[in-house]
Amino acid sequence: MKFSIYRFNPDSDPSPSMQAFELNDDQLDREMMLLDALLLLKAQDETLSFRRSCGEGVCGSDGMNVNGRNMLACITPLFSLKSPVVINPMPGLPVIRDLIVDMAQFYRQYRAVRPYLINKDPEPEVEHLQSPAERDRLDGLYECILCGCCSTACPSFWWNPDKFLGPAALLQSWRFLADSRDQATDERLASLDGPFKLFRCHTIMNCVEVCPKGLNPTRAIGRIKELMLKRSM
Amino acid sequence: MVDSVSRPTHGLRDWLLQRFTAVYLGCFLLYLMVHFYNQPQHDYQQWHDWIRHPAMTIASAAFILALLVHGWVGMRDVVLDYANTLRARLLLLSLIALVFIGCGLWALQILLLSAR
Repeated sequence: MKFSIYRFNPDSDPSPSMQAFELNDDQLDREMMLLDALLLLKAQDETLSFRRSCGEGVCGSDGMNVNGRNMLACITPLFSLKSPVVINPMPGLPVIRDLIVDMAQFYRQYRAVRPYLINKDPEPEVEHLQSPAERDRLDGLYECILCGCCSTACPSFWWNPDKFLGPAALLQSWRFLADSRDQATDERLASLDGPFKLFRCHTIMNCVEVCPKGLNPTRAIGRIKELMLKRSM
Repeated sequence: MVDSVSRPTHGLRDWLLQRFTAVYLGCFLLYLMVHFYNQPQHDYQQWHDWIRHPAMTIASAAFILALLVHGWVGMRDVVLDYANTLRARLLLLSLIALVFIGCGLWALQILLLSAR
């Protein structure tokens, strides 16, 4: 199987280039994930750099652009991919080296939505209780692993990464707006108004297309707009 | 809480304006299609009588206004997406505003002349 992988070391390379790799059929098996293949390629050339950790789609470290689509290498079956497999870093973020991107901007936008419960009541003796129905509202939201596949597939995030929060952060924003225990709804909504933070979303839906956890940030963004509308009436 | 007056622009307001104006534009265009389907041939007098009817003058003025507002939000979105420096944004938005104001005044002149 053939691979074409983006290589760039800003310290020594004047510009990025694509490097061809190949794995023989006897090195491959049907169960292999793309990450397994990358580890074999790294054995061929140990300077090839990429992030990985848990290897089972939980930590979100190995997001990359494969054959034009953002995905997690560890849960992508190798044989679902067309050869040559073209691997690039996730688009729209600065490259640190090879497939490793600088996620600082992505995390800044995540921090900006204050991704934690804001509750002004005195601390209860036990937990803040929720009914099963209230808890169900968080399904499809809390599962986000912050891999960055969605935000780096979003053209609005490419054009305004410092101003538009991006689908990942907005999904988390709705996760706390939808939480019955959170009491900062007005502050959260007020901080999202203006033309950039929320309203750069043009429902392109690349985020939904690529989310490796099957989540729907576009729907969450729609819910935020609905709630804004209700609160403003 | 962020004071609504201090916000530079209103995301929700503009988003809603774009949607409401889209509904009006859709309804008006539907009315035009039905009108021209029922009465495909107009001579000058028929055309003039139709346009100068007060209801039609008001509906046309509202159509022009809705079109300009809808277009402005859309064009502003395009500029905010693709023009990334403040200077380019200001320049493009000013040019678009000038064209839109010019078109609006021209349309107003036509409506006022035809309503005489």
